[in-house]
Amino acid sequence: MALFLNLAHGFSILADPRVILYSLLGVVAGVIIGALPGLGPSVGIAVLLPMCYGLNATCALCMLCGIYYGSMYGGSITAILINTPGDSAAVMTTLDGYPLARKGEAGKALGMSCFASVLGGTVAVVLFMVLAPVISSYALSFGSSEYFALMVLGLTSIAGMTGKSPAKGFLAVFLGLFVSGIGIDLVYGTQKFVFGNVHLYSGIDFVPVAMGLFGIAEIICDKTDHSIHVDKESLKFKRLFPTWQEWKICMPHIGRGTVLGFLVGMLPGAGATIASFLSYGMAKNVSKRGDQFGSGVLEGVAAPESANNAASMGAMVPMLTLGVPGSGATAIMMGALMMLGITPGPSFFTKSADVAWGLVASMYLGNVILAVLGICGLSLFVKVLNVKGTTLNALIFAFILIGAYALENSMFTVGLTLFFGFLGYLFKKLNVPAAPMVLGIVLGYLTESNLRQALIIDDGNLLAVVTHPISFVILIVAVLLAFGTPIKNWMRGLRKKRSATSI
Amino acid sequence: MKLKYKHGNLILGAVAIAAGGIILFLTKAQKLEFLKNEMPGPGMFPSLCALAVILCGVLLLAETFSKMLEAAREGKADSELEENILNFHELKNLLVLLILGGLILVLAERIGLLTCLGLSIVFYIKIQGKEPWRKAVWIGVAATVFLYVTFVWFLRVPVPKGPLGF
Repeated sequence: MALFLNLAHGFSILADPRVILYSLLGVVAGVIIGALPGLGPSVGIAVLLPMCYGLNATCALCMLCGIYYGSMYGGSITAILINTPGDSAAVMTTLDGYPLARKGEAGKALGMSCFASVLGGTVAVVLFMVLAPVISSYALSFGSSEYFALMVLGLTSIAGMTGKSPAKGFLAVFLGLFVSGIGIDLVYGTQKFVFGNVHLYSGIDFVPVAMGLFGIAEIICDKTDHSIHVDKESLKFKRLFPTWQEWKICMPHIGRGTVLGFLVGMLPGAGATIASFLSYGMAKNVSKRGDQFGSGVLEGVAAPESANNAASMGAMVPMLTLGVPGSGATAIMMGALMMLGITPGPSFFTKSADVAWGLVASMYLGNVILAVLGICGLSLFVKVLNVKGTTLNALIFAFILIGAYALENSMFTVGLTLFFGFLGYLFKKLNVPAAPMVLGIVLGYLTESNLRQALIIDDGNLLAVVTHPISFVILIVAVLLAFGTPIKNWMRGLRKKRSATSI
Repeated sequence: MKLKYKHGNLILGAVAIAAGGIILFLTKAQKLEFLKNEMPGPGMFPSLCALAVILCGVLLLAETFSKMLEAAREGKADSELEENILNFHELKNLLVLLILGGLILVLAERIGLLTCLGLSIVFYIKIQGKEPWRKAVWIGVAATVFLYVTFVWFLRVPVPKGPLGF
């Protein structure tokens, strides 16, 4: 009963037209950004962060969430029309989406992608609404040691699971943690790595880092040049709707994809891409026409699309309830919330109930907006996507720089953004993932303060964090997540060598 | 211009070790103690990060060398390690953006941030997009008006103004 009362309270917050407006803005921006090849939700949220300045937390969070799930659907537009996924989560959609477009059924594929995204997203919100407060209430008993262990879990999972080399992922995390420590020491008030520069007294904010590493670096790599030529007939309103028979085939796949996507999305470091891969694989295995997957079947679009939207909702559970984001996009969202004076964590649903339940209600609204826009605004999105890449780059560049200036009304932040943009370009060239560095900066302050608190409480005992049972278990999971893949690779290599010598 | 991925990795590993060393040196030079009164001091976290960065650099070097050795032993080149990571188009784009960014940093306080951004849009579209001047100027002006409305009028950001008052 309390759940429904809280939800009703959330919907009462939606009566504020600004919340609806920002949700709409977020979804529109998200769909466009998601559809642009190379620009995923992390880039979209990082570039549009300046729009949150001066907003209240509910409006800001609703807009950011709109960008997040809008971009999940947007990625499928180019995946279906030009065989180029807008982001990595839409890779599996190309397998059947593009063949469908070549058969002249682009409209149907886009329609199914939209409906699957909306259904996946809506069911995932229900799961989110039920699970999040439960996890929050359980985590309320956590102390500094447990929090420190949770931060380590978030950092190790994203470092160990993004990119090909865990060493590079960890390098990015530790650089981020170091950068987060620049400024005035939180206990003794000592200056750390400030070198007399007044701009560094308050530390380096995550916003210029995120905008540089994601936005500017993407502009330098200039992968946004594309043009879409589609048969307008196939995008006609009527042709976007699947038939009853097609619905009957796709619904079970959407259901399975949603639950799987939500659960995978909750795991730190896993995210929407893995969810869509798993969901496509599962759909192929259980479908009666599994052998036709890849040649253009509608359920090959429905399964990954429902999973990636559900995963984006699932990813918000650890971020909002434990304060541990599991992906680049949620790390930036968490930073944005902290910038607005709200600390995600176990007390989020009690201390910031208005924001929390307003957000849940706005997710339902966002999905409705997504359904309407996905169907009615499709031709408009296709037109926007035909804007020349260089023009788009120039506009994003200017938007990022003025956004960086607006953060502290200082040109120093603009310089920092350019510096991190250059660093982001080097990271891209050397396959160093940028998300762990942003997460390091976002979680750096909390990690350091919790570690120091835990040590102070236990009289400086350096083993304090491993002597508490919950933190010990969490740290073991963190170590397994971090080193599981290298150990597995090493053992596989050993086995290979042994079998080669025995032959 | 060529830079193989394996050389890039080796440089990254060496830079990481050097960066970790510099952080440790600076921590000591700024007298940030690891422990203060037997409690964690202000230098504890940066020192731990620096040590971890050095370790990552060493691991990266070891990983790259072992892959190179493995490729040499098997007598065939590892396509990923031999890949050239530099691209003329990207380097040109980088140079143009760095020059434009540098000019914005220097000139924003003198001629106004919005003017600088508008000009950077025009020049970027002209140089990289090879669009006609008329189109580039039209987009530049429209974008500047949009930025003015969003940031100055709506978000009330006090952007540096030039002699023309914007």
